[in-house]
Amino acid sequence: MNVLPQLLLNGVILGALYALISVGFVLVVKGSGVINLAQGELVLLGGYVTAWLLGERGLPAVVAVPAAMLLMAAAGLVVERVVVRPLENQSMLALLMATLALATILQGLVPIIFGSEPRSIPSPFNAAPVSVAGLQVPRVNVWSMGIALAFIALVAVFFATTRYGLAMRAASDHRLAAQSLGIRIRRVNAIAWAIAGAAAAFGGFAWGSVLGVDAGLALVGIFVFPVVILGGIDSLAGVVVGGLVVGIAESLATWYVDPLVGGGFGLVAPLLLLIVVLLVRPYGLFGRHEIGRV
Amino acid sequence: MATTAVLRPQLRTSYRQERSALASRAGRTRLAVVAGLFLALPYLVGDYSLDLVNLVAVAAVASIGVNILTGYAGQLSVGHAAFAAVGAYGAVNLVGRAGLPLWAAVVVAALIAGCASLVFGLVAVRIRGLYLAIATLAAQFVIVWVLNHWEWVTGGTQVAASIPAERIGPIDTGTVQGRYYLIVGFLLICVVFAANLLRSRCGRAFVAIRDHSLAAAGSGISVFRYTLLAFFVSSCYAGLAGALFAVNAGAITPEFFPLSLSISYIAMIIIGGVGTIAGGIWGAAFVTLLPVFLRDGLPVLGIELTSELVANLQLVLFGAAILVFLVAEPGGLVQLARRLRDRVARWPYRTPAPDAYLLDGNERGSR
Amino acid sequence: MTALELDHVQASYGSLAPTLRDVSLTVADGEVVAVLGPNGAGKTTMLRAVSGLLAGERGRVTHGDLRFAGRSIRGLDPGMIVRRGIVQVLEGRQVFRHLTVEQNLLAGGHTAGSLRSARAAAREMFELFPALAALRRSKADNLSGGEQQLLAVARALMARPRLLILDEPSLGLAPIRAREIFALVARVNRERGVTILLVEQNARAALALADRAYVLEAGTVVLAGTPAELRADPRVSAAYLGVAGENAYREMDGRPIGESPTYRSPTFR
Repeated sequence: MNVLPQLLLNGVILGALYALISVGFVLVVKGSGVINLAQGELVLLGGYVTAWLLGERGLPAVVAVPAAMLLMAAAGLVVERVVVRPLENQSMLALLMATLALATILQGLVPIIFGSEPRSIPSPFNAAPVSVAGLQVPRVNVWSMGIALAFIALVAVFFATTRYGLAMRAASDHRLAAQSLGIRIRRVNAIAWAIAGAAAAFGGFAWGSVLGVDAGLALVGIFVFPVVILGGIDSLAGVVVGGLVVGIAESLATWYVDPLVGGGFGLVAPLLLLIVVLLVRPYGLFGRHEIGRV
Repeated sequence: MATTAVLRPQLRTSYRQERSALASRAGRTRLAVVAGLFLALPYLVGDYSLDLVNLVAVAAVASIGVNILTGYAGQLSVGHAAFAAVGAYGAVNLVGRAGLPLWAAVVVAALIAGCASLVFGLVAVRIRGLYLAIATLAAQFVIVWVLNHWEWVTGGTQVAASIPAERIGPIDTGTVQGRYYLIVGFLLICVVFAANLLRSRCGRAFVAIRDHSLAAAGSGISVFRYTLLAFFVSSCYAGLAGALFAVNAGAITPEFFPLSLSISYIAMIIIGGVGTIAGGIWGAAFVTLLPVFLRDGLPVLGIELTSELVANLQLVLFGAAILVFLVAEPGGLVQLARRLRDRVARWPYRTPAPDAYLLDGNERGSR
Repeated sequence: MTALELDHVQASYGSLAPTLRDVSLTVADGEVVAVLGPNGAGKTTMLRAVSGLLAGERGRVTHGDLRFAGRSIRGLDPGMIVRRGIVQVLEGRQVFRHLTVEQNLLAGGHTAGSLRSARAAAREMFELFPALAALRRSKADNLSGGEQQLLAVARALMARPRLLILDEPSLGLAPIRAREIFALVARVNRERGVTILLVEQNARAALALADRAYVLEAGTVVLAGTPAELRADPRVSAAYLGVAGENAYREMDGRPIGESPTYRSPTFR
């Protein structure tokens, strides 16, 4: 049997989920100009919050997932207030380090709050796999992919058609000019972080359903970087394309290369891809130039 | 770089004086004190304390390296733990397979780590900044993966690679005292080397690039070459730290060099003081000794915590410390100490607070 | 009635020596007021102090008060100041380069409250500036310098200012484009009743446009008056208008304006 179509399909599903968590990252770049190295840890927190609401509180998914997104949006606001705002006039380097600090804090805080036992997210979907063009896929994956793409589309609509979406684009283009027109930079930052928090909650739910929720969930944050480097660090369209490429690369690498080298190549392949992209097209497929200038 | 000159101005009348490390009597006295203390310390403290000194010194070598890159050249690396791993395995293999004497193996291993870092640095230094940070993140995972899978180098995942004790003249690395002389000796060499590097043409080029790369390029400084040089030197330091770590620990596995170690190197320089050599050492001491305090100190105070909670608490404290220092005292412990000392010296007058000068406003627009 | 009033304002960056020292200045409703001065005199700092934009550069107003329509605006955040009716066109245009002309205008209308009312205002701007209407879908980055300045002014008008501040609107423009911009500023003042505060290196054009003018040197106001009074002052004509002959200039030696060390300004040399 030819496994390639199945691998590609798996890759596409993975890719959509990578795109989902990368959207939070890109939003923060676009909205507040901050490179958030803690996106994976936000996803980890989101996963635990969702697992807690679904599992321990026993809420139905239609309530639990939106509630988790709300809670995580609030967490995003807290991050903006505590980590980003005190450093608002500092260099990009200081902010990079601050998000590293945030990552470290969350790595310690999440197990203190939720304990370190792995949790599972009870799937709200029928366990029977879906058959797509003769290929078998777990139903939860298909749903996750669909909702992930819908979420990204929603964010794109927000940017294109709303007042604050436009304000965010203006602010990321030229902060001082945006301020001079009455755009409140802090509010724009806060909105960006709140949406990023919500995206992380949803990412935690989607990834947690696939992988289970434990400390390792933060590792998916690493994939954000190949995705956004490939797609361009501030481009929503780029996130989708980058996500798909990374997902497919991982899927193929895991199947074809892992047996030769003994495992774990699924993570390494996207990172090698990242290095190659940096070499030939450092600003990605859809990115702008200036962000590279720290 | 205004702060060092703000409070203790020194008149120098020639460039030679400016470059000289031992221009003042105070400088010579300090050197004598350091040398004396270095030789005498093993006779003054017990094995346990000396072992902690060794751990701090190993970390300090790495954090001085990170400081060269971050504090002076203004670039961030989150892959220095991996470069340390390269140094560690380099030393293990150079001693075990090539039969090099330990001291030489350690030096060569450091250079190997520097070269390994260039594979990633060459890709990203061209665009620097964020991209170098991301490339080093990739390096962190790729290198640790390679080490995990390259059994010829590491002996596989199941076994720890070890480095046998050796006698170097009067020094026996089988004893904590012997390791102390080796490790702290290398630390002192590192300090002197870094101080010389940073006081020279190179150091000024680094700072110029950090503060305004465009203006630096306009002054004829090759931004590419100097950024790469800073990255290489910095990675050599990490490699040396890794090699010394292997010597100190005796046996290593790739799991000793995770991403969190890279982050704790960054924590060290922020807490100690970005852009000063002393800052790297103070930060290394703080970050290395905090877990020891949490583990041994809290029970003494009557607080009993599980080791898992302590580990997590430690992460939270590190992160919080980074944030607090970034916001409140970007000059780190060194700057804090200097401020306190000046306040005491001038009491009852109040000292004007020198501006926080680091990490501030690289290449923002003109006002 | 007084629109803007600066009352003994002092401002500094970080812990450096103050950039503005004891600046007092008024702008009456409906007036055009120009501020002249050499590079480094503190003109931009003064304008940013009015708009509350100093914080991003670690600057702040340390003494004195700024009032608009009788109410203090010192310490307000920039968004609040725009909502009070003061909008600034920054030095060097600073359009949103990656947004289209239309999106630039809509961003300017952020304080209008809804995107719909911003759209209505943008339509009005396109009627006012047909040159921009033709470019509405172009990326601002691709516009010429003159077009960008036009866009920057139109974008500022989107917020319906009562006081429009312009920081060197002619900077880097060809003389003919600069004249167009000055004509536009005059029109905005006349037709829309917008009060204007203008910093300008081109003293001749600024004085032609202004009802009153101030000369700022080394962070303090050294001269003030109507354009006619300033033109008549030999020191101004020598330093800013470039009309004094060699003799007139020599004659003035030893008669500094204020305490200014920058009196022999590069403007003249």
